[in-house]
Amino acid sequence: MSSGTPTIGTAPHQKAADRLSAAPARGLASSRFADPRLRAGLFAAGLAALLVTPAFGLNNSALLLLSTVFMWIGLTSSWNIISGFTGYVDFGHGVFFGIGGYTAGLLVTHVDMPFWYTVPLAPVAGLVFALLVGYPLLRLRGVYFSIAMLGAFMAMRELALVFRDFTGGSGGIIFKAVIDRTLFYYVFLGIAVAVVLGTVWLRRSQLGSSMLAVRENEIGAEARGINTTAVKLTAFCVSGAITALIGSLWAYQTAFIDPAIMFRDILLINLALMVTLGGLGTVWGPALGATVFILLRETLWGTEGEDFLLFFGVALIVVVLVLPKGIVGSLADRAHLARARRAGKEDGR
Amino acid sequence: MGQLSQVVLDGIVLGGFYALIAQGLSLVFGVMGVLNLAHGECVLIGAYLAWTAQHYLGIDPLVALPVIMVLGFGFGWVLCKTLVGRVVERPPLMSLLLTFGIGAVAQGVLLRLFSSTPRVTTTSYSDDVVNVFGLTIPTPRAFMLLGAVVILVLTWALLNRTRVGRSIQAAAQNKAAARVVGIDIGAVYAIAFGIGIALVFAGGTLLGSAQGFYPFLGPLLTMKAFAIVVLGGVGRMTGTVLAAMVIGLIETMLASYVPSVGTGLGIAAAFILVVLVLVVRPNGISGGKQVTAGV
Amino acid sequence: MTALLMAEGVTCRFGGLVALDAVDFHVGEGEIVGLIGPNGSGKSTLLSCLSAGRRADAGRIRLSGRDITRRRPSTVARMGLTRTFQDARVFGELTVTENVLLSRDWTRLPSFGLLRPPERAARERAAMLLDLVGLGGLAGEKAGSLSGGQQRLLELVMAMMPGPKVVMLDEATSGVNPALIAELSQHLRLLHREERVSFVIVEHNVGFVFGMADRIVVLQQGRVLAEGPPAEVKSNQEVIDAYLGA
Ligand SMILES: Nc1ncnc2c1ncn2[C@@H]1O[C@H](COP(=O)(O)OP(=O)(O)OP(=O)(O)O)[C@@H](O)[C@H]1O
Ligand SMILES: [Mg+2]
Repeated sequence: MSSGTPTIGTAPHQKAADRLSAAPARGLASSRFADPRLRAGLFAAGLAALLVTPAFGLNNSALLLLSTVFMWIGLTSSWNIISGFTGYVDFGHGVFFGIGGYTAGLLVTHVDMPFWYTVPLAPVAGLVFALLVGYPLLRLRGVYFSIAMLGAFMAMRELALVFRDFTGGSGGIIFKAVIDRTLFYYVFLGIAVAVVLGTVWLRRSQLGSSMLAVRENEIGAEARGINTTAVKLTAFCVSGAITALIGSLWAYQTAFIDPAIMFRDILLINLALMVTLGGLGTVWGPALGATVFILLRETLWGTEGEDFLLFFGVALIVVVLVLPKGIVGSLADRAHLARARRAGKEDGR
Repeated sequence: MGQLSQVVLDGIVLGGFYALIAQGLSLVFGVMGVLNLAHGECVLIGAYLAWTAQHYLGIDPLVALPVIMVLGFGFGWVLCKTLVGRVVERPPLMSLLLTFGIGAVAQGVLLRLFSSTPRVTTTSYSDDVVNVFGLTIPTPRAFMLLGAVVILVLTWALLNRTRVGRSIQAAAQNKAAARVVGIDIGAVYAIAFGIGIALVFAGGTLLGSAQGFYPFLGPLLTMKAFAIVVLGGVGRMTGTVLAAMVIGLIETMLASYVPSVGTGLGIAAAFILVVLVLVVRPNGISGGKQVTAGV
Repeated sequence: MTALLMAEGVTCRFGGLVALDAVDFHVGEGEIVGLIGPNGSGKSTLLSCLSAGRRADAGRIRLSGRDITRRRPSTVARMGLTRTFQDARVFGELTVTENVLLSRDWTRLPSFGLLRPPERAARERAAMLLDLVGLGGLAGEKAGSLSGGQQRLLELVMAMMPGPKVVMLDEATSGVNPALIAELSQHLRLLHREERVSFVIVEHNVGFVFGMADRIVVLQQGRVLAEGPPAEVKSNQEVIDAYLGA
């Protein structure tokens, strides 16, 4: 329809961009991993390998290590939905983990519900809490939201400690132990895969784009017809519900909960650290960060020793100063730069 | 126990301490836009410094106070120049993560040096009480309130009556404009951060002889200070003091009137109050800088 | 007379400053209204109030007869009143196409459409609009890598995307190459004709706005100083003194 009209904005670099998209991409990050079929294939192969792994007689501690990695992939990727996609960085996300664990624990002790029945109720509890707290707090600007959530986290820990008749207080709640590493291996693997694939899909959907728009400019997003409150609340609820689910499973696996372990400060640091390391707001960054971090910690550190706080603190400071965009973010930047440089060269010819 | 006027007095004393540490947080946040998540740990460093001075050198905390504040200023200045200053202009998450990390390191170091056993700085007047109109305050707590008031008044004077203070305020209001009129913004940040930390070191010193403290107390103090800053409105000293009193009163009232569980509900109460206030008045009790996303 | 967009007595204060003082403003169906005035006269503020981005302290705003004074900005946008910003607000991390698709007609989304990638019809409309303003070749680029002028054009496309009834443009020509401004007016005319949309054009480029508009409204210090056909306003002595100059 605009055949006769000359076009606006025929800037030189537009032609470069045309050529860019036409030319077969070269270079590391772009060429090999840009092909979606290859990526899907790699993912499927990796998944198949992980599915059969337990059959090859891994010992319990190896299974536990792997399921810990999966659990953290689930946690980091769900945290990334609220913190990375919408940019509302939740510094008290551990509250959902605790709520999940306590929902399970309380139902088991007070209602005598079989554990597996409680599992679907944990995310519901997380969702309800997210709605109640999210509605007022998501109106706060970035930093205020972050620390207000930290407040929510500490407040819930206090409540769990104080209402001891109901929660068992610092004495905690003991579950009937179910020690089946293989079962938890598959459960956490399933969650990790579901959350990561969910993130991939979310990033492509309109809902995901709206979240990114909220992160960049809330007033602008609202002007484009996006109900930003609804988008933020959705992200928060999804994120919280998944974390609560993982919390309940973790409680089941550990067979004991108390306020100090269900509402652990260290969980908050870990989340922030792993996701920043991998790349906040990227699709694969959180999973990568969790994997790298846990495996590194396992090889370098063994168990969480006396000085783990020092270690985490220093690691966090170093990551923030050296690798603020995370592994995935930095790689993407480099690929982008390389592309731009190549385009520039072709232009110069 | 339970007598209202006594409870109110206790609340005011506690509020004075909270006002002091919240003012430190508010100053740094107002000027730099950095919410220092290591704030509570800095209070504790001050407390442990005073404890060390008393325990090993026999110096009374009140005598050590000026020196500790100078140390606090230096510590804050260095921290800002080496670490915090690097992330001021970056997205807020970066400064949150960084100060979160600093807090963790501080906690780890304190644990290492002093273990998790609670400490109290014992002084010659630790067991004395002061009588006011038939009400009693333990002498260390009376000093805590007195010290807080004196330091806050001096801080107010520093911010409003000196050249440095006015540069700080100018930078807080408009960074670009402050740069244009030739204010060295990096220096202003370092000075503001230094003053903020000096305030909390003082708070820690005063707190240390009034009650027990241990390395894990940090986040709790950060949260209280934050709640107060939000309630009072960022960068408003009167608002901060008022909100600190409110939080202090609520806490002492809960402790004396809510049987058995009241003492453990300080954070929960402050948090619920903050949420309620933000629902009703998005910019805090006294207005001030905008807190909400604006949609 | 029932106009498409009808604002009565819109007042907006910033503390003591009265940015808008009981402004009456209306836009008819298919009309192009030029809104001019000195810097700080309240033009952008009026756009914000009309699109519900800022809640008016007093006054009533109706779109197609429905009261929109206290709606969410997103609701107003969905009802058919969209705008651009003086500081073009595109989403730099998203691609140009994603930006446009985000601005689609949300009310006409298929069921679970939010949870899916955008459907074919929306993609086609996005591509058509982008081609129209010459951004077709940049569809896959991150919006953040566009030049300032290109971002303005992109924002225009974003405002057009949902097929609105009224589009309000806040200084669409600023930062756009003078040679392209003539083309921009052609595109706006084309869109105006094809989609039967009304425009409110806030401008400092007097030639552009007087050439485009059916009617000009002049704001000064939050009040309507003059209003009428371009020729009439151009020769109004008050307007010349206050804004246009000799
Ligand atoms: N957020 C705000 N807070 C305080 N005052 C504001 C705010 N936004 C606008 N104002 C004031 O309102 C008045 C009108 O501003 P507005 O941006 O609407 O003017 P304008 O006509 O769009 O000017 P320009 O042509 O420069 O864009 C100005 O005096 C401005 O200083
Ligand atoms: Mg304007």
